[in-house]
Amino acid sequence: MSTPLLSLEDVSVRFPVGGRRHVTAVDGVSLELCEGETLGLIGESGSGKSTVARAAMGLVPISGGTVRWRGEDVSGFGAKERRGFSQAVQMVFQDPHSALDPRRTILQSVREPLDVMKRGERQDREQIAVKALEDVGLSTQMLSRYPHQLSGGQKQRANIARALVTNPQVLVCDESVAALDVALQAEILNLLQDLKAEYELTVLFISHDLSVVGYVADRISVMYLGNIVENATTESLVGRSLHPYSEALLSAQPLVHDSSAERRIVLKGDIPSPVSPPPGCRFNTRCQFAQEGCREEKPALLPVLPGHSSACLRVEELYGERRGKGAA
Amino acid sequence: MALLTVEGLQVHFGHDENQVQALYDVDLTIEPGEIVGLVGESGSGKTVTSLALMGLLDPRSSRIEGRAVLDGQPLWNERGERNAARRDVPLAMVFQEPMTALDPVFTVGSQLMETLRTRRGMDKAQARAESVALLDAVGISDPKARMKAYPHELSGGMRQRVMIAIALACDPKLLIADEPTTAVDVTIQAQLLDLIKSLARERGMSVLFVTHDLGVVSETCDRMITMYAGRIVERGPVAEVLGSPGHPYTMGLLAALPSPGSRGERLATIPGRVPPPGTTVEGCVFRPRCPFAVDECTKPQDLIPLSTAREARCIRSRELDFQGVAR
Amino acid sequence: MRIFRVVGTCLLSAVPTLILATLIVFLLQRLIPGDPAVAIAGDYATPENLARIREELGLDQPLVMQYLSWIGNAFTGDLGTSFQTGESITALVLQRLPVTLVLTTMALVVAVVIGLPAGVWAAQKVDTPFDRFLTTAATAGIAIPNFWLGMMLIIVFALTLGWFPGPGGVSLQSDPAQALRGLVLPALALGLVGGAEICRQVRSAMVESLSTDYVRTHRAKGLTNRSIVWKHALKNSSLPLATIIGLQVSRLIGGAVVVEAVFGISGIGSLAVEATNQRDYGVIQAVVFVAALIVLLTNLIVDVSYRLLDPRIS
Repeated sequence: MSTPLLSLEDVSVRFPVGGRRHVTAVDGVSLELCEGETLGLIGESGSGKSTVARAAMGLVPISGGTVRWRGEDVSGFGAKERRGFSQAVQMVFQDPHSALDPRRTILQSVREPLDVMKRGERQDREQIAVKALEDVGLSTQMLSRYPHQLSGGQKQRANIARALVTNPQVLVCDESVAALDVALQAEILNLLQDLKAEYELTVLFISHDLSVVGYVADRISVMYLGNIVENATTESLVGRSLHPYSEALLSAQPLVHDSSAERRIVLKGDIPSPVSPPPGCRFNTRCQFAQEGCREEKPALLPVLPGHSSACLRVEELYGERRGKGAA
Repeated sequence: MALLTVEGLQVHFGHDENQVQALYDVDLTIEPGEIVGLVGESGSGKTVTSLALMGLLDPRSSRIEGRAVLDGQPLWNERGERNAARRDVPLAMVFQEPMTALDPVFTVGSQLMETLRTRRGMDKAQARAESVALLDAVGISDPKARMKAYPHELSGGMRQRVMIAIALACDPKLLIADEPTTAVDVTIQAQLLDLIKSLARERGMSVLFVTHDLGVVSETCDRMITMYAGRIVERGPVAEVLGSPGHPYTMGLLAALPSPGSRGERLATIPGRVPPPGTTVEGCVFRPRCPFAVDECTKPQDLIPLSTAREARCIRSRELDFQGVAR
Repeated sequence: MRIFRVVGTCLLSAVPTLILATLIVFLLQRLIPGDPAVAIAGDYATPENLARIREELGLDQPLVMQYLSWIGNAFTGDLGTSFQTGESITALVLQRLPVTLVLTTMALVVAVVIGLPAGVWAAQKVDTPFDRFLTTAATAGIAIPNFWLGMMLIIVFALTLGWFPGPGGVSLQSDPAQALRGLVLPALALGLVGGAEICRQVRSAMVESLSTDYVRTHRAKGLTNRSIVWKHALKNSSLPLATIIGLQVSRLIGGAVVVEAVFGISGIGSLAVEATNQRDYGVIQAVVFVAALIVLLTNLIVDVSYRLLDPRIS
């Protein structure tokens, strides 16, 4: 197997939260992003999914573990390599409104990453920016407009264009369609698929919305309170989830054409605060299958089926039958 | 008899030349105990409709026309002024943002108790006992202790439960829920949807459920109403409407939904944009974006009955089968 | 417990502020031309005489020593003796302080009683002619100087209408009732401007509160407008309100200097004016010390009230 493009090995991120206390937003997460694939990262608030993305891009300092770019540890990068890395990995943020400078025209905002890097002549930079704006479907009339003159969908297109001007290899989309109406969301999702093909992108797609992640991603990692609890191809995860949390998350998603209240597992209680996560398996406070052992031992993320891992102590017991079916 | 009857509801914002019409001739009825979904994108008029019914539009910047009667009581008079005795109207509302919709400097208990005292004329002791009972009814554990909590000390899901308890304190026969689960996580959303459904069932309460999420409608509502650009474009039982939409806009919304099953396929989109309030479109307002538009569509469109409980504002809805396209 | 810690830290941080304020005044006085020894001994005093006076007053000591000995005594309650009269400054300040305190308290009441309701009303009628009138009036009010307003009040209400006593003759100790009557016009002169300021701040804070989601929730609940405005929106606006009232206290103390002079009130403000004219350094410094103490105390009260008013601050 070839080296993954971007990988995280046992990465942890801790933030200080007043006094001597810390919150471990990401706790020993390992991920591999292979060239050309779309990896979906799904989780609820406090799961640490956005922090994982920021850690991978070097936007937050990691307190443990290693981030590798094409197999090399990014912490050992010199200034030049670091610049290359940050050009190669670009991000599209959630809120299309606040991500653009209100006092700059769309063209200025989109050209900005190139200006900062002082790459080439101004003329060339402008040309690259115009091309990117064309690629995201913004007409030339939009170039000289300011963000407030654009609709939400157009702003998000401009944000995507800005991420593309450095000709990145990896595009990180953090809840990039969450703020949009259904029809606009569909347009942007289509656009991302087109751009992925045209720019030969590898995508890390972060969302709380299973329908969206399931639609775009080849593989999905499910996060809960800073841990990855399940890791599988989209078909495998949606078809036969092997973790009680993923199961509940899948069943909680309201669907239009598969509406039956019986299939739904309603989890009790709230998501615990990441400041004081429960001991043992972090999901044990809400898990209907939790036993004594789940409160003591923290389960490791282990392969159960080929390409499908789960972090559950009772996985064999709970899903053994299903696993057999899957293998057969 | 219907619990709520609304006829010819029109809302204008602004004055004189700057006046902009936000709602056009909205008619709707809600039966006792029924959960009705009001669906549409931003700018469709669904929130304006609910705010108008609640009497929460600022009379200085808006004008209401039409008739609305809830449980035998008119919600406003002929001149569109709010009914003075509104406090006795059995109507309550739950809002979208649990973070900002509760008063940050008063305790949960005091916000509940003042509602009970104003709406139901209870004394302090009664109000306290009832508040604890309501918090219990919305599934808040240790309700006595929670009475003393401030909103910032509660999680988003808990705050939304408190919002629901406050709404219940008004003893409503109709609850308007405006995107009540949009700002919470999906596992919490499941809890809240279950709660709203079971409260409606237990209390025989009707719910007008305002949402943009067709999945939520499908799992929660009995009937649904689709709004577009300030007009009702389709209504009917949820299973029928979502099973075979009678209006190209409802169909478009359905087809635009991503799902793991449609991976690799292109999502259907609705070309163009929702017309900004105030734009006049000749004939059907959806015509400029509609793939099925014909010359006839430039004429004014009425809601056309499709079956006993179904109507769509599209002259081609009987002739076209949108069902196949929606899948 | 939390409150005690807040008070403790506030008091600790007040000490350097006090030292800084008095040090600045101390140095400024020494930089201004003029010699207190000359002021005491007269223009024709002999050099020996002047030297003797300087020695008695400690003016021959290095500046640092002069300041240190003064501030040390000040914290024990001894503000020194007046160059001019030889009296204890502490006694002098205590004698003049009460009338100023009564005046500023009355002025603060005037400011709040006028500014608060005006601001609340304006906020409810945003962008109506009533609101525009009030906002314009408040802006004009802020621009009016205290002394001019004081003189106008004297001309209209004391000299023409005769409703209140004219300037002078206010003595709290001998005739409190008459003295209070005499303080009405000065309190108005001092408080109206503060009222205008409070009105503007309350208006903008209330406009913000009234447009929040939770106010919409209260309306949906069917609370009366009165309860929404005066209970909920006002409590939510209480942080900026506490801040502006706190600021007004220091403004009023400053304004008292002028207003006391206009109305001939022998309070601490006129004491400062007299002492400046006579280069009575010790007295000026004592007045600054007391004024700074009052302002710091007000800040402390404002800080504590934040924590009582908003449960989110800890």
